[in-house]
Amino acid sequence: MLKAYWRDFVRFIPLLMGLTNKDFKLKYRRSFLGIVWSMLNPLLMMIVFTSVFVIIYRVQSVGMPFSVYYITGATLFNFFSEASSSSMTSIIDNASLIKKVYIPKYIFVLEKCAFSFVNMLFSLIAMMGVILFYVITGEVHLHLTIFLIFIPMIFVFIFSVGIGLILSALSVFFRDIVHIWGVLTTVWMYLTPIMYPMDMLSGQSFEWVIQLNPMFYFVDDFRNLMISGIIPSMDHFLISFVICVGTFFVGMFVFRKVQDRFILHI
Amino acid sequence: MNLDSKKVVVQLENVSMHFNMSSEKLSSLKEYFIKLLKRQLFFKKYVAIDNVSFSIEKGDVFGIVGLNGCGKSTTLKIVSGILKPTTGKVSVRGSIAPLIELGAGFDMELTARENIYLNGAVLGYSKKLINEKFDEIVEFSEMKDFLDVPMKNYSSGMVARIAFAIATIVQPDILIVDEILAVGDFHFREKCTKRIETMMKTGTTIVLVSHDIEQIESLCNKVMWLEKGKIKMIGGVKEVCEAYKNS
Ligand SMILES: Nc1ncnc2c1ncn2[C@@H]1O[C@H](COP(=O)(O)OP(=O)(O)O)[C@@H](O)[C@H]1O
Ligand SMILES: [Mg+2]
Repeated sequence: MLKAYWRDFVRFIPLLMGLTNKDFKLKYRRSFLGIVWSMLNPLLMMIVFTSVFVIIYRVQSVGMPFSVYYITGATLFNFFSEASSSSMTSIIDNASLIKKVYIPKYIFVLEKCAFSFVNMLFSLIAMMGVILFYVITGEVHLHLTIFLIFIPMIFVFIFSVGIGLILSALSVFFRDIVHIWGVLTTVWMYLTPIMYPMDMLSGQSFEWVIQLNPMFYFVDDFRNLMISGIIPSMDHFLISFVICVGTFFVGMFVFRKVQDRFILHI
Repeated sequence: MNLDSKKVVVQLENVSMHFNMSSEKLSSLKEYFIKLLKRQLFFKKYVAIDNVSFSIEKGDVFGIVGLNGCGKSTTLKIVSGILKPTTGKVSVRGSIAPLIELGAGFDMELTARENIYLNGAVLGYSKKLINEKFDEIVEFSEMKDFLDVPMKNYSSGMVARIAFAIATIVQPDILIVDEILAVGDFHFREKCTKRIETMMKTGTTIVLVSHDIEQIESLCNKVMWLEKGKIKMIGGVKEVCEAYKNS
């Protein structure tokens, strides 16, 4: 049984790559700068947010240059936001295919997450550029822990696949989710310490919300590994692990339960 | 049971397919709740396939005829595994290449060249295999001059050529053809018919839907006539086609 699943998956790996490739081609077709936008965009956003928060709101110190603080958090969160919302519509968008050939349908969700992940790798290049700038000015130091950043990245990937599976399945039956999700991710972003320091929330009555927020753990660990040279505590590691694996399995369960009915509603 | 009977490769047992017709025409929330209270919401079913059983043996060329909307495409989709039947059992042995409607899996924004790779992957072929067969696909479809044109600029016949050429590069155990030949021109139809005939000779099982009754008569050995989702008649090609033409 498990073997059959694996065989099915392996058979469709070329499709996974083909679809990702297609997404790239279509995204950058007829754009002059093309793939450069994947690096330029996070940089421009960083400049906007740094201006707003540092100059206008005079946000208190975040323990490192604000641009670095922002771009490390935003890179990871934007991946999640992009992966989840593009996965959400992946089943509906591929209706014409699903109606005409047999394909394991989770492939579409996986593909959107993979595409967003590759995009994140490009943002990572931009992020490294910013960090290097501050390394040269002496405001940031590099640590060996930088080589461990793939751990929170993989966690957030698995978490996004899980959320993507749930959202894509639900959106087939309740299209309203597509409209609500954009608002929800915005709220979610403000509940994740991306633009304000972590300790701004300690002591607040809603601090517990942050503790329940999976993205908090991923972003915090990512930033600590990247900039501060701190290896996440075992607690954090276990919580992250349980969250992402748990979400992944819930997603698989929900998706498998309803996938045969997709075709009747798309 | 006849021990000499050839190997059964497709078998449908008491298969029914119900479509839910309630999901669309609800214009307001109020209407939704009224329907919910009256318990009509989940009961308005449309029976597209009604308790159908048949089997196809290895090497058969199995035709399905019937009027529009009688459930031919739905039957093919159930055989291909695209649709799961509401009730009943489907067993299929071997690999399937489904040609259901035009351009399954083409992205019209992409060029033909890009689509050949993508569509090959959709059908589960490796990149290496498509590389090997690329020239053959282009040659068979006669689309060499249009390879780098986005497919949205293709005519439906041109799309059909490419689709047929890709789906048949690997000889599948079972080939499913749903009216796809209808759009091609005379020359290409002949070419496809030839390829189907070659496959027939080498043991591929074929399930064919066509409105061209002469094509059915010349290719098939067994025919099923569907009427409103039920089997009206099934058997040898001569008797069923005669009855169908005289109906
Ligand atoms: N996804 C669907 N939802 C609701 N009704 C459907 C769906 N697919 C097919 N039907 C209905 O089922 C019937 C049979 O359709 P089909 O198998 O496509 O007929 P045909 O014999 O012309 O190929 C038609 O009345 C069609 O409206
Ligand atoms: Mg049809």
